[in-house]
Amino acid sequence: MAATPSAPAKSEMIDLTKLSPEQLIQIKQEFEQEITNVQDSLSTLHGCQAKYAGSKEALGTFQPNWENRQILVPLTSSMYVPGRVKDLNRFVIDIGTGYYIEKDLEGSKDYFKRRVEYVQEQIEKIEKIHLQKTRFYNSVMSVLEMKQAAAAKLQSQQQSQPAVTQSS
Amino acid sequence: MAQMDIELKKAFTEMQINKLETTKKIHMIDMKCDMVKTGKQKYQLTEKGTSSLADDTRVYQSVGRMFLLTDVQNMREDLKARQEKCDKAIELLEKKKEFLQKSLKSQEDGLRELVQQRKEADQTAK
Repeated sequence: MAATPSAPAKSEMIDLTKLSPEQLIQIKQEFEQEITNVQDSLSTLHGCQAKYAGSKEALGTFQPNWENRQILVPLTSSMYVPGRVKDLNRFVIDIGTGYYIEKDLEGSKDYFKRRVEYVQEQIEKIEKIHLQKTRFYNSVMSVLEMKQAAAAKLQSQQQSQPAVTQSS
Repeated sequence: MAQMDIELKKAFTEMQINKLETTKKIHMIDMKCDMVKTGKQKYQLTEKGTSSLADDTRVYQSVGRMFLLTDVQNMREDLKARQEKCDKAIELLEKKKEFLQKSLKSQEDGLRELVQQRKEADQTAK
């Protein structure tokens, strides 16, 4: 074969073609579990990003002429008390693990903008991993199908096709 | 001949993967577009439902989990602004989709060309 995949990939392809169907099924199940875990991580990150984006959007609608306006302060999701805005340029942000920081409007906007971008970076990293694992999973599936097809042909007393090694 | 077959197969697989990814992106844009359209519909319904309110009615604007007292005039202006924002977002998404569809078409053409090349190669071999 003239194709020259990288050593680890080549090693893995060889292993795949030499493994028994039972071993391939086991690998397939392991990959399914890993892919599920990665998908759960992605869901969590998307939820996280949505929260930061919500905060960013709320800040975006703030206007200077809101001074002394009457507001309804949420005590729970279905109960409010009236209040008035006294200071439009001071925000207290929960940065996690029980700590809060005070920032002005521009500082707060910048903070949430950076958080959204940071989470997006992590999402993209994990999506690459997800894609990689999906491809490996597809490789395992195709080899397994080839072996099962070959076994079926053998049982029907036909000349089995020689296995073609694929590089991907 | 065997070498050429393998190279063609590899290129074919790669182009197929690209095609699938582009198709997936187009579907995601469709979903996002639907979401924005639904959002715009919501604003339109709100506008219609509140059109009969007297000018001195007290209305509250939602900001995060808080509600801010505002007046009917500002509310109407805000609803119009949001609808315009939705329109712009839809326009942008459709341009993106158009680009991806062109990309998809060129990928399909590429695949077709590869298949044709292979047929011609087979003809030559005979």
